[in-house]
Amino acid sequence: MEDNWLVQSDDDAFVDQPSLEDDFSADYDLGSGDNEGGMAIDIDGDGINESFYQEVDDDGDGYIDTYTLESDVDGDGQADSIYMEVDTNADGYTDQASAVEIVDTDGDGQKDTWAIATDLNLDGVVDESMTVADSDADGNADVQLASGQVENVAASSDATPVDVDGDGINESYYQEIDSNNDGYIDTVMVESDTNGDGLVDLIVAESDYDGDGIADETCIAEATDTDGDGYQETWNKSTDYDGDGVIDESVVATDTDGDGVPDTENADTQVATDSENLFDTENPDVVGDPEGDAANWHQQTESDTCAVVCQEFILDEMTGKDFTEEELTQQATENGWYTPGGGTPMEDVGNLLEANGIEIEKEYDCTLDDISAKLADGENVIVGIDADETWNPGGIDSDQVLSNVSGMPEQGSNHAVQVIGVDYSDPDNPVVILNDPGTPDGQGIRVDADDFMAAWEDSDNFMVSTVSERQVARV
Amino acid sequence: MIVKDQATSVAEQTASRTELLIKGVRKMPFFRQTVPQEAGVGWPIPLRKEGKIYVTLPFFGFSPTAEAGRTQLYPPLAIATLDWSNQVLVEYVNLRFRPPAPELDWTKQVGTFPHPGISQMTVREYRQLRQELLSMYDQMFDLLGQNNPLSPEWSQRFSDLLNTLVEPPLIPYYRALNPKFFARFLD
Repeated sequence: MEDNWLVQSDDDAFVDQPSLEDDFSADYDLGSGDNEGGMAIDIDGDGINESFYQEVDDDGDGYIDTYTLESDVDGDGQADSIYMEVDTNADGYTDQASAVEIVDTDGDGQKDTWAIATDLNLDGVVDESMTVADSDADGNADVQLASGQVENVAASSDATPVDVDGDGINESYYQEIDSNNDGYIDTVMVESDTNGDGLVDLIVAESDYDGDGIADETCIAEATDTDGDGYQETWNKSTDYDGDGVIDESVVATDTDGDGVPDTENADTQVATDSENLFDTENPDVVGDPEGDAANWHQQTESDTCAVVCQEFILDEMTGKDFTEEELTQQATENGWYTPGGGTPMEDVGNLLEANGIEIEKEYDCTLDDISAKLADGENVIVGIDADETWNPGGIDSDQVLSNVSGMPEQGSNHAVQVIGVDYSDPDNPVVILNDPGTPDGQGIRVDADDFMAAWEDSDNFMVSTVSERQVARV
Repeated sequence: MIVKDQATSVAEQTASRTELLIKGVRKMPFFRQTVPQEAGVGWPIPLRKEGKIYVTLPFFGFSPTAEAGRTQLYPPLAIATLDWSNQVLVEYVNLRFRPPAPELDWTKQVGTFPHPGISQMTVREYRQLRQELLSMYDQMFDLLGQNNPLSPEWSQRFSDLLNTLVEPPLIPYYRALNPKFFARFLD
């Protein structure tokens, strides 16, 4: 931020001074209560009114709620900073502030990029930051960039917003970059905000240095919220330096100061071996990440929330947020996807994922190979099974008395489980690994493929799976 | 008129049309779209209207947990009525929206399965009795369609089976769904 009266000695962009309302409303008599007004002001005392102060009834309820100070310090006729305070709860006191710096990144004389920092509770700490740009020079911001990426825009060719996951929302930003400054584009980078929180959490970059159309280097960096504070501070970066599909370096870094840029590397910079190859899916012993996925398991607290909880497992993993069974049950109930004392209709399984930003597909007549392919791609899978057949491998013992068996014989009702792995250590007798929320020992429970297929058949092999979010733009 | 021994021989044959319908309803589009996949399919309720025979299937909540002998039972949450001749859906009722007996609680757990009367019955015995009862439903539908009466012996056997197998916590709800049918065949 420019060092003007809007900036203090600390690192945020918010004034230590009293609020805009206190500063200006009394001195300039711009009206009170419900009267909007504006006035040009000379803040820096050079005799030129470089700033404009305005009070606005933004929500149209008849009361002033927004106070803005817009400044053109460089005198080019375009605002280069805006400071805004808002009374969001109509109690007469502002409780939220934003500071915006506006710059001309491509040097064409037209300011085109807005860096926005927002303090959501006026505690002097930036809570949200984003950068938006006017990519089509119509004067309106139409591209959302990552924090701290203004310089990258200046160094690259035209950036393009893209909808990688096909949900109609441009969650990603596609750039072509001349990384070695030889005058030729050699790198394609796609930065994505997969969970819609305004922050980039997935970056995929492919570089073709020799211009043969084949990526020589691939880097994938993914952010997660490991400490559960809602901010994805941990970045896992994997790099294939020679384009052979084998990870050569895996680094974990942490953004400790919340500026969106990792600033520390954690202890172990690992060099991946063939056995840790993330990309080689030829004949792996275990497909999927059962150890990692099992960490999300918990037993369902209600008797009929299996589908809700399976979706909770996936949402926790894919968004980095800690969803609860209670909140998802409520969301599902409100939308008619779950009935307390009943459960979830099969074709509503997956709706919670979609509603929370995860693209999915639902299919019948799927095979174990379909499941394996999904897991190999890093996707998540939920299936409907007849739980009697997994809880009682080989079938319920017909000579058992009813008081010693679970469920109701012959009902064939379905139960949702997450498939987290398939173990092909014995290719002739694969084992399916599940997160089953319906049983106390359901964490990573292993079921022979034959028993699993028999159980799955009752739902006509119904599968809900996430759709790949790592759709890399090919060079 | 059919007597008990004939009913028994029928039950020993392959799965009845009623049993197949109970299994097959789970694969019908309306079921997959609106009925919780965890729901159980209850005892069918015959219906005759304007000379045609229909079957109403109640869907009740139950928890297929791994805890043996303590499956939780919840009231019926919906019913679907199908044309017996072609299994076409003619009516679907959400019982939370339109409970036939508002004085009953249609949302909370009402009991567990198995009830004491069958808890010591083997799975095999339970399946056999269930199969026999569902076969008798086939006969009932056919006889109703032909406007033929049910013999006292047949009716008694049907009643004995139904009284043995019906889940007692669900009886008030069954009676609410069709008072006449269950007044005739339930004690």
